[in-house]
Amino acid sequence: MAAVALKEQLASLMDSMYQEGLLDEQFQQLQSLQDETNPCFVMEVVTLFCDDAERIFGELDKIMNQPVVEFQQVDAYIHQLKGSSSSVGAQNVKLACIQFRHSLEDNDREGCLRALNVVKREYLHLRSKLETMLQLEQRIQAYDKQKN
Amino acid sequence: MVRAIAGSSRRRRRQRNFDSNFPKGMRVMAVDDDLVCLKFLEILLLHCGYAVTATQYPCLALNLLRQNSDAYDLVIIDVQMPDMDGFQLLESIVVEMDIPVIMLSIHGDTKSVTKCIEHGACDYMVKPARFEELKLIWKHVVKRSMTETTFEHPLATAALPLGLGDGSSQASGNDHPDQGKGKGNELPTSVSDEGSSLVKKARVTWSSDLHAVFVRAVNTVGLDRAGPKRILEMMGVPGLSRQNVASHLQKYRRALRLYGPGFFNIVQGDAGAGASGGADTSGVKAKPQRTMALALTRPVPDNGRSTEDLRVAGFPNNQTAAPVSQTPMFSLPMSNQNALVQKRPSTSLGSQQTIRQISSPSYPASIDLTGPQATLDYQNQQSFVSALDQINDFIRNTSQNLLPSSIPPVPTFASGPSTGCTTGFVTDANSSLVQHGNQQDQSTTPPVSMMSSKQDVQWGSGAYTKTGPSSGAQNNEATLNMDNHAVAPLHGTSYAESAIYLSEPSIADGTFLFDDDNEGDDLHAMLRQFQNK
Repeated sequence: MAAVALKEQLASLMDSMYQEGLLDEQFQQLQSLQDETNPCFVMEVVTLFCDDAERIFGELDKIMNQPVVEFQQVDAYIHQLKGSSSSVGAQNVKLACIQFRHSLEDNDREGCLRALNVVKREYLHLRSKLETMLQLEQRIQAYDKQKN
Repeated sequence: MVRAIAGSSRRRRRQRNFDSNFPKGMRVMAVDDDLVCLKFLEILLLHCGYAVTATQYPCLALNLLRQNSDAYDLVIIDVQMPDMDGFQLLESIVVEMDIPVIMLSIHGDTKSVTKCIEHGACDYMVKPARFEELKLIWKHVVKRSMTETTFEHPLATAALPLGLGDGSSQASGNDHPDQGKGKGNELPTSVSDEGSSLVKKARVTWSSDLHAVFVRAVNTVGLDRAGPKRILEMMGVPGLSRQNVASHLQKYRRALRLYGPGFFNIVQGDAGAGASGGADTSGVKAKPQRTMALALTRPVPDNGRSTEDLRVAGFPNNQTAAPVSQTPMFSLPMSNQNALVQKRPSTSLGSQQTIRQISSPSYPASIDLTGPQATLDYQNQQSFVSALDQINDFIRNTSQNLLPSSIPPVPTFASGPSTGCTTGFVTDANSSLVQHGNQQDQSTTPPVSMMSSKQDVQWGSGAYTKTGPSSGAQNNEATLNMDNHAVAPLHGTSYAESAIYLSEPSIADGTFLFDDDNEGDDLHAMLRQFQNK
């Protein structure tokens, strides 16, 4: 019973995430790749992505706080984040990265800081939803295991 | 008939026997510094049924490939990587090994794609890779194995109409009026019957003049700091491309390392003489009868040391024994040749022209000593020949994977790598995936000892890239000594090869592979030795 409720909750969460544009079809592909041989694939990739993103944000903060900003480096990091977010299906984050790169062209520090904040915000929003999703999944799996 | 193969012998055509399961089990190496993308790619490839070796480290990938290029059927490389530019890795693989390479990038614009193809990639994909596309990448392996041994890669033999033509002394490049005649673009039939994705380009013939210009540029810039782009700029030769210079630079460096600078004195002396005569920075005068780079298309008996007149076999028009003022140098090594010396007959111009070709399976370096002053007598040839003997021995030794005496022994791989460079994760489609969280599978996947020790912890944080020296060394050794890939410890030739790579300006000492000070002394001493050349 509880498992059904959980599954419904999960389903509606996923729907809302897709609708908001937090996730796109790429994430669906990730989910389809998860099977018996890789039961934790999605979780692993999501964890990887989050760690990677946070590492990149840390580096970016350092760079942006320097008196002279190395925009090339910033570009490289954002490029990386764009790549990983597109691999995961983190659509809004990816779009925010694309916007960021546009503002980089102006070499405007303030503009970059604003754009960076947008990226961070999108990422944090996604992360909290993903955490909820993973928790739900784990609980569902636990229930299923109990049954079997 | 046996045909010459461009590039080093590592690029010998591999005869593939596809097993009945193919493409299942096809061995793919994936290289991407971004862990998320790499992981995703790896899973997709595994789902396609391929055997996957995945690494974040291009240096490591290159090393693995160099050690055992037969262990991999295809390589997928990310274009943007911090440690090594994807194009650099691509070029190295393309020039040294006969493995199809697919480039992967976020960008899908025409310019990026064209650049990749020009650098020798056989395909291009936009990230994130799609399963439907990856399911079909095996076609490149089949295609490559189907093309005949005459495959001549544009990068190794890239040429322009510079040295070609109809006898006019123009070297103006593509817009030469006679270009349309097709001589400049004429390729030997051995290439033209390709079904390959080769673009039919005319090829650069590295004449002694052109080489002299090249060497001057290199010496001005400084061999250690020399990069193809800068050299190209310094040379100022119209129509020459960066990849021509890159491939020539690689061969030059290798030859320098192997044979010493003295070897080139002969060339440079004559080339200098020739060049001073010529002085035009276009570098090359047209060769009346040449339509292609010097290429032996069948093995020549090893009596080349005599002064007997040997024709260059296999030329479509070689019966003319062209009275060329320039002949190609740095020409193509043959797949099964020993060093040989050839002498061309006297020309109607009255000057004796000598072509020297030192070609070897592994080390392309042919020296051309033509030019009006190149009247080398037998005496010189003999002393030269004794140098060739040494080279022959060297080649024979290295081809047996022995340590050449001239190269100091280097630490084996086991003691080397630690921080900063691990093998990433290595999986095999046939074994269960070493997936993090797949605790029960740990025991069945011995190769990935590194990962197995960290499976339950911090997989995504890149923790395994930060292993300390002691644990890292063992893990790496274990990881490398995999069932699938009989990777010999890094020593001898392969490391020496790496030394060449290390002298590239973009790779500073210590940022190489292993980023480990512990292993530094022997290796770095050796590297410094090469870099100081």
